[in-house]
Amino acid sequence: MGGKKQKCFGKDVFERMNFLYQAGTLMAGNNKALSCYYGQLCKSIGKKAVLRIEPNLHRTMCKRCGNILKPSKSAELSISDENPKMCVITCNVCGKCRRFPINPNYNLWFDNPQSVVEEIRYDGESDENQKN
Amino acid sequence: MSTQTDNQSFGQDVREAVTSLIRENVDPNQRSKLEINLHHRTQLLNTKAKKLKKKKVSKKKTLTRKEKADMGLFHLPTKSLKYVDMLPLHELWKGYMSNHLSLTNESIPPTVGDPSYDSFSKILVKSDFHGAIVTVTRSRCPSLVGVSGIVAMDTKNTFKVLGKDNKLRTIPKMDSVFKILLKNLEFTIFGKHLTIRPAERSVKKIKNFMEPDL
Repeated sequence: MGGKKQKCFGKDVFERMNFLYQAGTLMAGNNKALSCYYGQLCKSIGKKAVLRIEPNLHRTMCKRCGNILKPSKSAELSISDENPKMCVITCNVCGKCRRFPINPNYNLWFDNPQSVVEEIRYDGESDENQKN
Repeated sequence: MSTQTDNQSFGQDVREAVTSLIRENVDPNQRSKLEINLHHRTQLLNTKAKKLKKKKVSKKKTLTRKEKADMGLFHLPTKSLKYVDMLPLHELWKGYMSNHLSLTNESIPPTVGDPSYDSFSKILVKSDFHGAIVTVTRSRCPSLVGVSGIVAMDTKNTFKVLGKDNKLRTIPKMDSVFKILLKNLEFTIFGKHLTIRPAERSVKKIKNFMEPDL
């Protein structure tokens, strides 16, 4: 919280991943090869630089082919009848489906206020909550 | 001993021969009622049918290279891509690039003599070029000079560039010099400095720049 001028670690890599994610979202549904390529590249850059993608964004990328999942455009969203109810997202390119339980009381650990240890501000812009 | 005939494996001429043979040997009054089903399997007594193996549905988390190739993820369509569809990507790239190079409206990037020139050019080389409008100014291959378009794909040794005539061209980086326009600025980049895998580019350490000869 101090006024120290610190350099954000991996800022350029985060910027690049963010750009690639947005590029993938643009291409999703229009061009499957490009969408998968940008998504896959975004993932592999994160792997190489050992930086994590925000979990909510991570859930919108296909685990298998890297396609950005946009419901009704590049993916299909459905709710299964089992208990607890599941939200099923099926990728239109590779057919991989992921299931998330629907629980209104559940929050990701990332969104939990307990998870924040320290807040660092870089020159007025807060980069802490962009991607961590 | 088991003898099993599977008619599906025979050729067309064999099938015709069998049908004509059966037709000839049947009583002529009954021929109209005849139905020949060659897909039927005949089997001798005291034999066991071979069990057809079911293919297991794989629940793999990763795709193999062959599966990716079958889905067509490696090959971009060379003719169905449209230049107009890529323009939003270029707009996105402009915003990313001016943010990445921390350029404001009036700031001027350092020239060759400046002390910050080296670090600036390192940042420039490490940035992403998907969506940039690129023009080839010099190249070892004279027919490539003057080719321009939006970069759609970036591999270790090539740029895949979509021109205004909606054609996708592959340009080798090694022997070319690229001109990149950003707002009112013009950057000249030697392709030799860009020959790094795009996934490794932002991490890899770059040694001192040497002017390559063409």
